[in-house]
Formats: sequence, structure tokens, C-alpha cells
Amino acid sequence: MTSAPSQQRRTPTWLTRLADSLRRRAGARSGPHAGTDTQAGHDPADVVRPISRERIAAYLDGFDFIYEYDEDGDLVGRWDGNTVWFLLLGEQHEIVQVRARWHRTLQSTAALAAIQAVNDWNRDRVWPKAYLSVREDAVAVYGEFSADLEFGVSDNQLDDYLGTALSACLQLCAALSSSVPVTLGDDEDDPDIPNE
Amino acid sequence: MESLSQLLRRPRQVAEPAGSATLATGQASADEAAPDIPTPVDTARVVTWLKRSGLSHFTDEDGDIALLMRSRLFYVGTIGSREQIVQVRGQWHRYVTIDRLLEALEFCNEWNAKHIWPKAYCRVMDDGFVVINSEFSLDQSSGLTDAQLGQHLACAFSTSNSLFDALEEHWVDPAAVAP
Repeated sequence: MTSAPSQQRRTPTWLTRLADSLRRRAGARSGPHAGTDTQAGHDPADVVRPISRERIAAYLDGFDFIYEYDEDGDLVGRWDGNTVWFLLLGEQHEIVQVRARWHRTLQSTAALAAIQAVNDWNRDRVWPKAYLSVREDAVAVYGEFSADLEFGVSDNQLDDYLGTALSACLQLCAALSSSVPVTLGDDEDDPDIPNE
Repeated sequence: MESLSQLLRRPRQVAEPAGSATLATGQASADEAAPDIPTPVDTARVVTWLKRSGLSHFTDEDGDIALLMRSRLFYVGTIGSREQIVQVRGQWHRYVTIDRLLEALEFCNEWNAKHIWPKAYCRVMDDGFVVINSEFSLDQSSGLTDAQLGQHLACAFSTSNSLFDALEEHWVDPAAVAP
């Protein structure tokens, strides 16, 4: 955990909460085969149920994260200035997707460097899938994590997916922030979305 | 898209008859007793799914499970310090010249922007050629049910093959076209 000397740079409390949770969850399992036998009394958090927006909201509420609903009814919040959507896609709304947009927008002249940076990320990191999207003459960077939950999802699984997705997306944004110097505009100027 | 829906439907149809878990692992029968409780995924469960789906595989010298689908090489298994990620990684069988690296990067970026799965990326090899990979990953820290595992694996293979089909269309093999 490095703390940069600049005035604004301190470890955000949401990050501490999320990291503690992921660490606790990892520590609770000594390995992939911990708790092998599923006997009669199942942990309710292991029972597979259909996904819903309410369950996503409950997850975010568990961390006291700040979010709101956009015009499509999807959950959206902002972490370190980066906008993160929690979407349900697919005909049955069975695919959960966590999509983050890096808070900076690049000039189109930076697209070549950016496309290589994004490819390196996709090659070296498992999550999220990163890509560029050209908006007018500016380039936005997105990270995406998706899981098809057609057969339902347990609370434990959902915690894993959303925690992994959110932290991985924000790692992508942080990596970009520390490596890409050229900027054009900044979503932090947009007052419409609450910042965590 | 027909092949995608077919492949997605396949594991459920094949997995339904109970008592077919006669493979040596013994793990599969325990899963059937509690179908809605996720359990850890290991190589044996992946192999069981491959066999039920009629996909033949081989094991490489590192013990990793690999298979070839229309010359495309796929690895499937668990990765991570706690084997907590189920991953299907595919590789397009054709090599791209380094002179087309930017075109390949743009192709992968457009794919990643427009399609949910799989993640596509380029790797520049030591000999200067570019290979294009697909990756589909899912966290299994809290296990997966047989139905979930089958769904994810079927989705991984079908969407990865769609990516490689799109590459074939983008760079049509001249030898495959009648003169």
C-alpha cells in the first residue's frame, strides 16, 4: 500500500472495505476444496437463486457504497471518479455485467498508445476485459466483467463476482491513471453521478 | 448463431439423465445429490463435462487439459493461487504478420467493445508473428453447480469459436477459396 505524497492521494475508505472483504473471503477458504461435503444443512448463502437488481443493490448496501439508478433502472456509482454500472443484460436479464469507464478521456492522438496499453492489460490480467470506445474525436476506456447467471447465483458467488469485478475494474482505471499522461476532459466534472 | 444456441443447449440435455456419472472421479455423483449447491471445480469435473458434451481432449505434459476444435487450440482448467478461476483459453491457429499488428489490435478492440465474451487479445511471439487469443474466465471461489459449470464452458467454447470465425471472415484464407 503506497501513499503518494500529493495532497489528494490517500487510500479511499471504500477500497479498504472492499479489500478487507475480499481478504476475509479468501482466508475463509484454505483452498478450493475447503468444505468438501455438502451435507443436509446448507449454508443459505450457498443456495442458488435468480439474480435481480435488488440483490446487486443489497451487495452495494452491505458496503455502504453510494449509487443511484440511471434512466434504464440500472445501478450506477462512482469510485475514485470512475463511473461503474451494474447491469443485467440478456433476454431474461440473466447476465450480470460490471462496466467501468475510466474517468479520463483521451485525445484521439493517444489512441495508438492506448490500444496497446489495453491489449497488454487483456493479455496480462484475467479481469476486466478492457477496450477503447471512440466518442466523437475522443477516446474513452472501459473495463467489463460479465457472468451468465442463467442457472442462478448464490449469495457467496455473487459476492465473489461483484467484489472481484469492482476491484479489478478499479485496478484497470488506477493503472491507466498512473501510466497515461495525455488527457482531454474529465468525468469528475460531471455532477450528475454521486462519487463514493 | 445457430451453432451457439445448439452448443448452449447441449450440456443440459446431456447432463439430465441421472446415474450417468460413472467416471472414475466419484465427485460427480455427490454433486447430483445436491444439485443447487455449488461445489469446487477441479479437472475431473471439467473432463466429465467434456466427455458428456462429446468433446475429445488430451492432457499435455504439464497436466493441463487441451482440445482442438477446427485446428483451434483450447486450454481449459483452473488457474490462480487457489485454483479459484475456471478459465478457457483459445488460440486462433493462423499467425498474423507483425506488419498487421495494428489491424489485429483494432480487430480485438472492436470485438471486446461489441461482444460480452470472450476477451480477445494479441500476443507478439519471439519470431515476430502475432497470435490471437481468446479468454473466458469465471471465479469459482464459492464453487459452481454442474449446470452453472456446463453453461459457462459451453458459452466459452461457442463464443470463442465465434471470435475465430469472425477472424476467418476478416482475413479470408486464400487457399480455402476456389480460384
